[in-house]
Amino acid sequence: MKVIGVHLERCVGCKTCEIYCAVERGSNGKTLWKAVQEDPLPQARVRVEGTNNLSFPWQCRHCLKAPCLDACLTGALSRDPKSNLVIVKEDKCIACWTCTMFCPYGVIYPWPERKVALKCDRCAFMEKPVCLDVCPCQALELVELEELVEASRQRRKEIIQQISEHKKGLIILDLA
Amino acid sequence: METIQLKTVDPLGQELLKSAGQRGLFLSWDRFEKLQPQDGFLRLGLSCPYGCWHGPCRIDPFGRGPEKGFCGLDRDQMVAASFLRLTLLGSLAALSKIGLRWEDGGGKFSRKIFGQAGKKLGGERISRNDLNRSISYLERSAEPAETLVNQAIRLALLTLGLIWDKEMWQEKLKPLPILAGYGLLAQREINIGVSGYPSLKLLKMAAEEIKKSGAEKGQLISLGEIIILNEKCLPCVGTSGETELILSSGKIDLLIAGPKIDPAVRELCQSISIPVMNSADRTSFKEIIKKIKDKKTNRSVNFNPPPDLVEEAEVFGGPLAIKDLLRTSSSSPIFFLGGDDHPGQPLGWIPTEVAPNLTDGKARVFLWGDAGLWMVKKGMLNPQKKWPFHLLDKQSTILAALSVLAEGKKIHNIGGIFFISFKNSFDLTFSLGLAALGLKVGVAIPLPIWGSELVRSFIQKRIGELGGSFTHYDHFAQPEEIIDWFKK
Repeated sequence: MKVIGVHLERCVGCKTCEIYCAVERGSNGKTLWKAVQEDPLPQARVRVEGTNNLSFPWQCRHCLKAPCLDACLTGALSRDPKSNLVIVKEDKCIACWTCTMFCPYGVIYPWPERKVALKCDRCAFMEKPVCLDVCPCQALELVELEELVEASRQRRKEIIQQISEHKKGLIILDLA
Repeated sequence: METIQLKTVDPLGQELLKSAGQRGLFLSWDRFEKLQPQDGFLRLGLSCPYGCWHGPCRIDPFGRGPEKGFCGLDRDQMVAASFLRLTLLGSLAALSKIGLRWEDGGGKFSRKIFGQAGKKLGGERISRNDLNRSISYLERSAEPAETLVNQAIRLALLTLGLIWDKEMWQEKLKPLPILAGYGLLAQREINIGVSGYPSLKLLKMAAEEIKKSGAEKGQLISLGEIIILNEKCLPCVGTSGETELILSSGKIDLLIAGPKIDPAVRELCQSISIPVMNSADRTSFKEIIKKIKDKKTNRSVNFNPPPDLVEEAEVFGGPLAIKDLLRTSSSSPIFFLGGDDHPGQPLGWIPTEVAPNLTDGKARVFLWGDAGLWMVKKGMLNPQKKWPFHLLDKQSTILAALSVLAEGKKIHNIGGIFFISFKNSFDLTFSLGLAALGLKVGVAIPLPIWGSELVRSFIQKRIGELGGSFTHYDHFAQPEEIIDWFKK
C-alpha cells in the first residue's frame, strides 16, 4: 500500500496543501477563485499543524487496524479491497461523528454543513494526491508503506546509537 | 489548478519554444509552471499586508482555520488593506515614473477634473494628503474595510490626476512609424536588443556607434517595448512576453539592459553567451561591437525567419495626433484594449481574437502595450490597410485620448477600456482610477480580492456611484467574454 510520507525538514507550514486540497477535492469550480464563492465552503482533507519551528501536514494514515472502521455505525467507512485505503461512502454517512472520536490521529473531520465525515482518501481516483503536486517544497511524497516502515526502523536505530554514544552504559532495547 | 495549454499564438514563437526546450533553456513559461500553484492566500488577498512583526497573519479562506489576524483584523479588512497596499504601490510607482517632487502634490487641472469625484468619495479634495493617509492606514490600523477601499479609490484618482497634469499636456508628437516582427532579426548582421527601459542617453550612444561602424550592418531593436529615440520608434521584434524567446533565437548579439529588466533575462543571456550592457558599464560600444564581429563566425544559428516577416504601423503619442485621428469620426464607438502579456494565457490570443470582433460598423480600437504589438505583428495596424486600429505609445496616452474626447464632447462614445493583464501595481492603480473617473473598465486576470465578498461588492458600489464600472473575473477571461463585455 502506498501512503503519503512527509519530509518534516521541508515543511514550512505554508498550508498550500490545505488550500488546494479543498479546491480540488471539495469544490465544484475547481479553481481557487470559484471555490471561495461556494456555499458551503469546500473543506480540506489535510490539516497543517504545529508551530513556527515545526509544522506537519496531517492526513488519514489508513491504519492497518483502523479504529474508525469499527466505530462507524452504518458502514460508511470501509476499506477498499483494491487499494487497501480507508474510504468514506458519503451516501451512507449519517454525520454521527463517532469516527472522529475514535480516530487516534484526529484526522477525520466533521463537516456539519454537508453532514458527512471528511477524511483523506489519498486522492485514490486520481493519478496522485493533489497535496503532493502542489507542495512548493516537495515535502510530501508517495511511498510504499514497507519503505516507510523500513525508513522508520533505520531512523530508530540511528537515534538509539546516538543516545548510546552520549550516555555511556545506557542500554536501549531495540524494539524495531 | 490552472494549466497552460498553448503558450503563444505565433507559429515562429512556437518554433523557438520547441528549440529552446530541446537545448535545455529554462524560459518564463517553465518558471511559471514550476511556480504553480502560486500562493493561495496572497491570490485571495488573505495574507496581511501590515508590516507588523506579530505576523505574517493569514486567514483561512475556507473558514476552518484562523478567522482573524493577531491584531483582530478580519477577512474583509485584510483583503481591503491588501487592495489599498497594491494601489499605494501603484501610486508610488507613478510618482517615481514622472519624477514628481513630493511637495508638488497635484496641479490645478487635476483638482478641477477630479474634485467632483473626490467629493463623492469622502467630502474632501483629493490631494497629496491621500498618500500620507494611505500610508498611515497601512500601519496596523483598525479602519473598517469600506474606509480602506474608499481610500484606494481616492488614491487611484489622485494618481491619475498627477499623471494627467505632469505628463499628458507636454507631448505633441506626430504619429511615428514602427516596424515589428521576427523578420527584423534576419535583416542585419548585428542585432543589438534593448530591454528593461535603459536610459535614452545610453541608447543614443549605441545608435551613434552603430552608425560609425556601418549603419547597414547593425541595428538597435526593441525586445517588447515601444521606445522612441531621436523622434523615431525603434523597430520591435516582439512583445514583452516574448523577450526570452527572442534572445533564445541566437540572433541577438548584445543586450542593452535597463533597470527594469527581469533577472531571468540577464541569466538567460549569461547562459547563452549574449553580452549584456547597462548604464554602469564602462566598456565602450566600439570594443563590444568588435568582439561581436569576431565571435560571429563561431555562433551557430538555427533560427532563420523570413526577412519580409515585418509589419508596419503608426504609433500615436500625444493629444494632437489623436485629435487629428478622431476629427473625422463623430459618433462612432471607441474601444480601448491593451496591457501586457501574461503567461497564464496564450500570448497574443486575447488581442488578436477580441480586437477584430469590435470593429463592425465605424468603431475604432485603440491598443497599447503588448496587445497593440500583437496586432502590429499580425499586420492589422498597417496604415495602408486603413483598419480602424490605432497603437498608443504607452498606457498613459489613454489619458491624452480621453482629454481629446472630453474636449470634443465624445467621452460617451467610449465603449470600454479593457486590460488583458496587469504587469505591476501601477496598472491596477491606473485602471481603478479610470473606473473612478466614470468609465467602463475591465481586466482579464483575477484580482486578489476574491477573499472578501464585502470588498468586491463595495468596490462595485463605489465605482458605480461615480458613474463607472470595474469588471474583473474569477478566472482568466476568455476572448468571447471580453467581446461580450465590450458589446454589453
